[in-house]
Amino acid sequence: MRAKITAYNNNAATGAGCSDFGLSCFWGNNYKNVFYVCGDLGRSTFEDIIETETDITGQTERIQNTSIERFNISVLAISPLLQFLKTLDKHEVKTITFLDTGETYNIKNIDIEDTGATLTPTNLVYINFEDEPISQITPNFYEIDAQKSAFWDNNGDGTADINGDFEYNPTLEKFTSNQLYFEADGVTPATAGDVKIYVYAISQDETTNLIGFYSGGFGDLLTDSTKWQSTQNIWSYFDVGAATIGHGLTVGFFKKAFATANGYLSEETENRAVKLRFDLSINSSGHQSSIQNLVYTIGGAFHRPEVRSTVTGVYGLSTLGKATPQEKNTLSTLQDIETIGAVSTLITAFTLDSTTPFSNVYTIGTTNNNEKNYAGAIVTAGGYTGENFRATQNRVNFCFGPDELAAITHQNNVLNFTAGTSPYEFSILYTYERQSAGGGYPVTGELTAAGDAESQLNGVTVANYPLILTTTSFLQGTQVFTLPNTDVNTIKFTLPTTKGFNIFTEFQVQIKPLF
Amino acid sequence: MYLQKGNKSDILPPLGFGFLDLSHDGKKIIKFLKVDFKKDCKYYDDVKLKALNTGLIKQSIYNAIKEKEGEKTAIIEAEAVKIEKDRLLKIIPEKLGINKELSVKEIIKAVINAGYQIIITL
Repeated sequence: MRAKITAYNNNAATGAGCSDFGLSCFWGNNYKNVFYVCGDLGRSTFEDIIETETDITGQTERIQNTSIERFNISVLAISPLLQFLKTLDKHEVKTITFLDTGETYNIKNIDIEDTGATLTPTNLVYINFEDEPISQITPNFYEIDAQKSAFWDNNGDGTADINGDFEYNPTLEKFTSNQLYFEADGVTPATAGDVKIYVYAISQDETTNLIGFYSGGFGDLLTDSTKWQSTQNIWSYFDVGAATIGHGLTVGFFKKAFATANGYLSEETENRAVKLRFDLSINSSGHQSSIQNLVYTIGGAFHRPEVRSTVTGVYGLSTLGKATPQEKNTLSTLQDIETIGAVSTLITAFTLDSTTPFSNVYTIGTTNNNEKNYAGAIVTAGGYTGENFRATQNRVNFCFGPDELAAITHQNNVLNFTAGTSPYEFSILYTYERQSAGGGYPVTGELTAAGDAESQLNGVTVANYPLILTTTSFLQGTQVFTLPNTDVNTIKFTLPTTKGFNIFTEFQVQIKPLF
Repeated sequence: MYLQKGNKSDILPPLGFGFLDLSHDGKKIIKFLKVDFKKDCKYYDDVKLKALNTGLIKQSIYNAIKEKEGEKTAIIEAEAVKIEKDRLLKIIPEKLGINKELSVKEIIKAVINAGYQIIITL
């Protein structure tokens, strides 16, 4: 420990910190403590010497008065440090600063324990005092010399990863890390000890709550419910094959399962995903943290409006998503304007016709063989918006956009993925439909030229489709998109027509935390 | 029962669902079970057991899943079935251009050849 003690009085007039006196000392002369005492000698004292004799009558008679002048100088014959400390309480301001940490404390009730014997280089002078924090940086922390240590090793390379992230396996939807336990030398692997794990749920606004506490020894299992204090059955979500306490052993945790069972799985309208922080310690060592991060899915107003039957003329719209109930997208509001010639009709009503794990199929109305244009706008339950413009002729679609029979292809992953596909990347099966018989679309027109159909991300062309010719009636393909960020982005499948229209399907997309 | 675009390797039907396809020799209509990667934790065991106990899956399907789960996915034959043509045609959109006069087996084959899978309850 290195420390600096500062003491001074405040100026009586100005209040500014200063010293009213100084202690001058000189370390030299073979390291003797040599004082230079300032000031005059002060008022001298006299020792009177009176000589007397007895006369013949027996009376005492003074025969001589003399006085010897004496000077008094009072100086403590101790080391200057000890003298300084002994007078410390006389100062108005007295602080101690620990140079290693920069923390400063007020010194109160100092007590110097000095045996009074002649000091030698090996003698100790005990200084006891009370401290009062002024600028304490960290809580008081006491370490035992024989303390073992515990760490997480997320990537399994044998090196401790401080405050890192568990690694995510997107195929198994499982997080893994590895345990490291060392003896006090920090090198020798520990073979025994009391291991504690605290598990915290951290919401997306950084609210942290303890959800599980584990206490066990080497060889014990994290799947053993008797070792846990948890209201959320956390032992049920560890990988049975990777749940043993021990140096170098892997811990696997199925976070999606945990989130599903305990209400942390986000849905279309609710964002409930949390991070999980695992704090590890052995024999009450300092805790070391590793985090199971947020896993992202993709949401958006993926949709396809179309006529479904040339026989019945039923038309509607399908909202699309990924193939789980939590990752689908449902229709909230609809405005579909049907135009025949100069007559437009606004339709806002729709009915849910059928569902699959990745789609909801809605019916809007029926159409006939007239040529019609449709301008649609939708909002999903998750708040994403979409727009489209398409046409029909003889109950056949003229539209371009996602196909209603395919799920959105996307791999759930963490943002800093180390395995699997980036969560920013996803693909859409698109379908182009257009009647090629019966005179085409006199009002709407046709595709202007091969290759003019394109997909866009935020208004920038992602791909052109030269296989969509002016005579093409049906074409499917897969288009990969990579979003630039976690914000709401816009995708558009579009093509210009010879009559100045744009056939398009446009919709917002966003990756968002699922669990 | 519904259609989904894609290959069997890319699609994982929900628990209790499988693929409808023809047997290797094309003589039978078969329901196939796709067994996912093994996720070895108590929760997933409980989900499967609950599915069995609530009748979502049969004992034979439960046993097959427990037996075949591993480091790879597996597609195994569940049972041979008969499918009514009308029920099948109901899920096939016109744009696939499937001839409705074909036999049930021919329709199944045509749909799969067009790049779709028929997902059906097991």
